Amino acid sequence: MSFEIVYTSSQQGLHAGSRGFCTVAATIGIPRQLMERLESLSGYQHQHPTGSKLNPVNFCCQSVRIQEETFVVLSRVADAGADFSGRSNKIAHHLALSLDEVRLTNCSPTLLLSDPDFWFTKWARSPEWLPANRLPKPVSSGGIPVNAWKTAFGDAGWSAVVARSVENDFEPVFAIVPDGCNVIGMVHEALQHLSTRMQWRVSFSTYFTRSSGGDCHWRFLRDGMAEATAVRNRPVGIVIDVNSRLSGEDQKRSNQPSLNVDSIDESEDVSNEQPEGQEGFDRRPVTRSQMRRREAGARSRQARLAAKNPRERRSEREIPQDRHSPIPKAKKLKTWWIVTGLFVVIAVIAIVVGLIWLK
Amino acid sequence: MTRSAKHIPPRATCPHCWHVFPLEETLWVSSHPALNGDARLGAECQRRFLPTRFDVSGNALDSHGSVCSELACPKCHLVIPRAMFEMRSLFYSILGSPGSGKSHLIATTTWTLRKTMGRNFHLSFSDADPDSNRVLNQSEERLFFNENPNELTTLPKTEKEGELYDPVRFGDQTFWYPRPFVFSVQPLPSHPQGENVAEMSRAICLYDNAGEHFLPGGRSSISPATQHLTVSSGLIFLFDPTQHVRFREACKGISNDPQITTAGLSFRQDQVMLEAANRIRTQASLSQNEKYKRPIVVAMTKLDAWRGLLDASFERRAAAFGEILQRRKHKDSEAIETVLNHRRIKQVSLDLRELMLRYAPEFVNAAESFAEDVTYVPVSALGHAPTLEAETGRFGVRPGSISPQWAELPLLYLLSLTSGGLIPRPIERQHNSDEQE
Ligand SMILES: Nc1nc2c(ncn2[C@@H]2O[C@H](COP(=O)(O)OP(=O)(O)O)[C@@H](O)[C@H]2O)c(=O)[nH]1
Ligand SMILES: [Mg+2]
Ligand SMILES: [Zn+2]
Repeated sequence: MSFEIVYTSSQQGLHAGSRGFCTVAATIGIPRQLMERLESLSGYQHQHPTGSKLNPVNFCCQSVRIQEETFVVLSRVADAGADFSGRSNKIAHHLALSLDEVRLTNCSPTLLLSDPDFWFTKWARSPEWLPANRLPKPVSSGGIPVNAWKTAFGDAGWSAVVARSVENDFEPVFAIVPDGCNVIGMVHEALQHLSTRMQWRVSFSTYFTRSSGGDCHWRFLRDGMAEATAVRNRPVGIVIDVNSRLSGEDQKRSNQPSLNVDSIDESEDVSNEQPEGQEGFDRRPVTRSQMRRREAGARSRQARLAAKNPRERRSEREIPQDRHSPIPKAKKLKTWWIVTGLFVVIAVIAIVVGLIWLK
Repeated sequence: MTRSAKHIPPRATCPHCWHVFPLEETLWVSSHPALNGDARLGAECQRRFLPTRFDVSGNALDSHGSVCSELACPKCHLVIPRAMFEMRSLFYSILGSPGSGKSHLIATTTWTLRKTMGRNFHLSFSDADPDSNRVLNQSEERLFFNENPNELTTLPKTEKEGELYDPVRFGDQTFWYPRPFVFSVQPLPSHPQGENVAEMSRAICLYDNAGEHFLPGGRSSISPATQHLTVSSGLIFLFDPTQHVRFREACKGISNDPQITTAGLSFRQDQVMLEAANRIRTQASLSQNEKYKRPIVVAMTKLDAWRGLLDASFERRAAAFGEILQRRKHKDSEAIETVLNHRRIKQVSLDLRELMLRYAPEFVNAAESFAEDVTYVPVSALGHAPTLEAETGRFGVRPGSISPQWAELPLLYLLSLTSGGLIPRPIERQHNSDEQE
């Protein structure tokens, strides 16, 4: 059975005497411990003044354990304008699904999170108990704008890099994204590389801050906020950072689809030499140098995992195979040019020598 | 950690979970990057450990031989500022209903003390841990260092979860502990006790709870956010007359504060007081007949909004109240020390108590039936009314026109009663100070 709560600042809460930040709606029969746990996942940090349309929405998927039972919690936490006391407000709407329900679901969590009719964005009525088993309807895939990674980072291939973290023992991903980009779309694109079963094992937060509470595998941080600076100063896991500067050489190369890790690393090395404030800002992200090491480690771990657990192979297969090619694309291209060039040169020499010999 | 000095208590109190532990149980935070992941705090935190090896300066070495510097609580594993091991700790609780002005008052208090403690009391007042004071520093910056002093700004409504709390896992359960604001207060050489720095210094812990935590029924089993009430050396209760029906009525026509002229908020603040009393009684095993022995300061907030209710005799005394600092020669040396004029504070408290008896007798009854020592102090963190922004419905303040009145007095007064002479107290008054050991 699923359970919901809606949590915001209101004149009157569901429980007698409660007001201010409190639960204003909940599913009849929700266990108290689950309710308290969901309330604790309602933190929200305003990036802009309350009421501003620029404040990001935190769409979140994570699992919580209450005593013996595990739930997968889908949440939408967002700004809600000023409250009745003239101060910043937020609204958090959580839906806790039992594992049985998750097993019966055959769509991405992002499609459920995008149902505009289910998630409350404001609460202006009296507190109420909600009927059991209210569920969001998955929007059609067209309901989520496409090309989110391409628009934000200039390269759709990043979705696969994020997805691969799952194979790598759920290595945490920190994506530092610019203001106003379509993060739920980015998560959706990354999830499409995984089987539906695996999609529900990934936890993510589309606007992660110190306030969010809970642990997530994929955390999307806003450029310019303290959380992003902290990750830049002390990178852990895979860091995908929008704020990278590349040299002219890399800019040219960035026009080609480039998913291979080697070229990513090269570009970072070059970018380190680029003095601050110079030309050459590129929307293409740069992962940290440890990524190459991690990729290598991941490959061996993957191999071990696949050997141990044949079922895990499925998700591996769903990731574009060129990611596993031993020779990276850019190198392949280079090799092709060298071989062709050599062949042409030898042919020309042979023709010239032949002509001289004929004369 | 070398701590043989006699002034350092043999036990420490964790400012997150209030666990009291002997110093030898203190954990250290590993610093080698390979030692990532802690059972209580999750994969991204450095592992905590009980050290067996130290370097020459007494810092622990982790299992990879890296020198460590941060210390942590053996129960919750959260980092405890070093100041709390090096000096005695003092806890003070600040409580009041939602919107009574806690966040503004704390920011104004700490900002004012940073500016004036040196000049007035020959004390340094600084962040013991800038990271844990981050939210408070942001509030101070918004109100007092704002680049746009004429534009409206606000402090966000304090959340019941999120940034001001740290999650700690105990098996399957996660508890949310409130993040303390910790300051170190140390005598400067010019302080009459300037030679006893080690003995006199104090680490001061404050918490900015969401008012919702103090409401009846606001207790949560996974967020023991108000347990500091029991360890506190004194309480500052914020009573907000603009949230009291009878005060509001009396102020209509004499105040143009939108918190009075618009629909506004009202809370049964006596219930909040009784709820706090109840929690303290239960946690500290105090019987119903026993009175709370530590001082309570009832800070009557937003003075600017209700000042019109006070009569001329109060105004005369209030003018004198402005000079609450008294200078005198130190009894054992030639140094001039500054003391708080407790007599004046008590006089003003009597005036305010009378006003309270007229409009909010139920509150006086609630406070005085619980505690022996209740002092009423008028404060204004902003000095003027906030502006209601028509288009957003938000209250804002212009940083340029903030002029606090006696905002820091509640904390100064508690310090003078309970800090063992950091702020000298007048000779006539002796209080059962009970500092945290
Ligand atoms: N008139 C007046 N209003 C104040 C003062 N201090 C705070 N306020 C207002 O009181 C409201 C609540 O303040 P806040 O500090 O957030 O209360 P908290 O919930 O107790 O932390 C805000 O809208 C402030 O503008 C003051 O000194 N005077
Ligand atoms: Mg507050
Ligand atoms: Zn602790």
